[in-house]
Amino acid sequence: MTNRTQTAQNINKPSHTLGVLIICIYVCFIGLPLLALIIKAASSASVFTVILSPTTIQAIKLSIVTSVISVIVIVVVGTPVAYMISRSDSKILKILDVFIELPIILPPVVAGVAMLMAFGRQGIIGAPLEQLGITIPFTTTAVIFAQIFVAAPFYIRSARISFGAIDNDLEDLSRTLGKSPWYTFWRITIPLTWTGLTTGLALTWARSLSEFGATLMFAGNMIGKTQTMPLGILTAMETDLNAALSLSLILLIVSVCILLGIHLLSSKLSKYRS
Amino acid sequence: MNSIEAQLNYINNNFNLSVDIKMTDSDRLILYGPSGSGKTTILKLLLGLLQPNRGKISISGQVILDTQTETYIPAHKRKIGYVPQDYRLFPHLSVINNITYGMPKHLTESQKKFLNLITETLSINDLGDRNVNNLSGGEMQRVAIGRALSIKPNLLLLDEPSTSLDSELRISVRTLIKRIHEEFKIPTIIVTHDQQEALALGTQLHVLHNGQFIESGEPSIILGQPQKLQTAALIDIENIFSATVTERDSTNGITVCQYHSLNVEIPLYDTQIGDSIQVGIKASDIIVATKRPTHISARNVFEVEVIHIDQDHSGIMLKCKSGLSEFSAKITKSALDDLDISQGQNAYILFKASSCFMLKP
Repeated sequence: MTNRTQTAQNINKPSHTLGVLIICIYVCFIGLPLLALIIKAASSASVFTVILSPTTIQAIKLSIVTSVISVIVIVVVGTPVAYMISRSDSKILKILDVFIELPIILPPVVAGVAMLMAFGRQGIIGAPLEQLGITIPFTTTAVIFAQIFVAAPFYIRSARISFGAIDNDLEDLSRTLGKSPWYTFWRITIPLTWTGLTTGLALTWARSLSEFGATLMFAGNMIGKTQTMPLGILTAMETDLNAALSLSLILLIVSVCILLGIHLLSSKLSKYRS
Repeated sequence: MNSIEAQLNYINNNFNLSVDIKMTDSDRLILYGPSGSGKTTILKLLLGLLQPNRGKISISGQVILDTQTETYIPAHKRKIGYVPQDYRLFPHLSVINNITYGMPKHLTESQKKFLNLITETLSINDLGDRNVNNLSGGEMQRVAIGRALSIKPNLLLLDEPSTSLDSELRISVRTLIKRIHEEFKIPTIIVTHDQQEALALGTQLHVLHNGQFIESGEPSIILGQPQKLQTAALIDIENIFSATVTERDSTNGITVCQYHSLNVEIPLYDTQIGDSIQVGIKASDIIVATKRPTHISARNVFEVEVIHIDQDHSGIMLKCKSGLSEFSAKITKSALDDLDISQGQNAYILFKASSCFMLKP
């Protein structure tokens, strides 16, 4: 038995070492640029000046406000869409599922152009809206539109997989116990899919926050109106590298805080449930 | 008194289910049939989880479904308790939260008393805050029953209640189900493909095959001496053979029929001489002897050759042959040791005419 275990260990040793090596390379590949960013930004004398500048504060505020609104819209609309797709055998909904995921593979710049063609002043919907006095492109609303367009699939995909993984019989049972479909959704479906939903929420929020290409094309880069953090970094890169570094560091911190916050909330709720 | 009446017709692809159910609260109705015969579909139709193409369901005179008048009470308003085959407890809720899931959030005194009655009857009052994922099979079963009873159902549906339990727990679950039925006076439908369970729990039984009831009646009669060939095949009647009626003795209530070279006596049925009939007899109703028995009441005694001896968990199966006629006889291991029979040896088989039954196609 011992010999057999040792043999197995010997056989596994090279592949184990190779695995560790690959993990180390990957961690370095991801970690090194982030570490470089932190070191360079921290050593920059202008970091606090940049953070406290009105332009930066406006960009941070706009990024957070627009991404929060985008995430709320995505969750409110995306949750029932994901639920319906997961529960239906309809071929139309299956096709819709593929269609919803399209923005994931679509280059964000293309998404921006497409949104201009739809909601721009000469766009299919944009033109009649313009006549009614409603302008979407190059406004804060356009920033939200671009973020929803690009980030929604991340939440819907994660929610759809989570809803699909839970046992339909549990929902049926809830109904036989006198509970309405709505009550069942809140008491059974949501708690059992909570981990998947929060993961999707974190991904979609992070994607909204980092949205760049579609926003630049569809909303422009106007300070205080459409200039989010990523666009602020682009602008700063052209004139002041230290400012760009400081803004990047702030965006990194905000993203990490959001991810940690959601995971913390998710695990706390899981513990509370169990 | 609760009474249930249901006529259900449900078509799904090539599966056509058409059944008629009538029962009262003194009934424990067994739906007996193989997998895919439509047992669980019937439960889902009653629960409102599936909608029939045509049908009517009424509980104590209140119509909960009528396709003609387009009456449809949804599942959550039907008050039908359901215990699925693998319990399906809510994994994120504690035992007590599972049991009280169907009850109002704030319980009145009478509701608290009812809850106590349930937990005491099911002996689950000490499980309270436990995680349902850490319960044993028997405990899960009792919690699932408690959860179904908590809504004070007008009808209780149990899907294969003891299938996933070991043999000792099966017996205790059967006793529990009978006690619940007596205590709460709820008409109960039990789905099973286990003959012992059907015999132990049922007051009436429907044999379901391809979505139709092919035979209905008292479980001991249906499972003891079925009338239909399909039922006999379903309940694994070991001896089914074709024979020709050669004599009808209405004075003694006997039909003589020829099974190859043997004249087998069976009870008197409405047949004509020359009719070709199917006869069944359970292997456990055939007695085996090593010497020709004399002065006995059994009408059928045949000399046979033991051609095969097979042992399984339920006993010894002897395959015997006389000319072209074959019989299977089931005896115990100790009986085999006493008889000291081996393969190729000659023996005698004997069975009463009344143990035989005619099977209709």
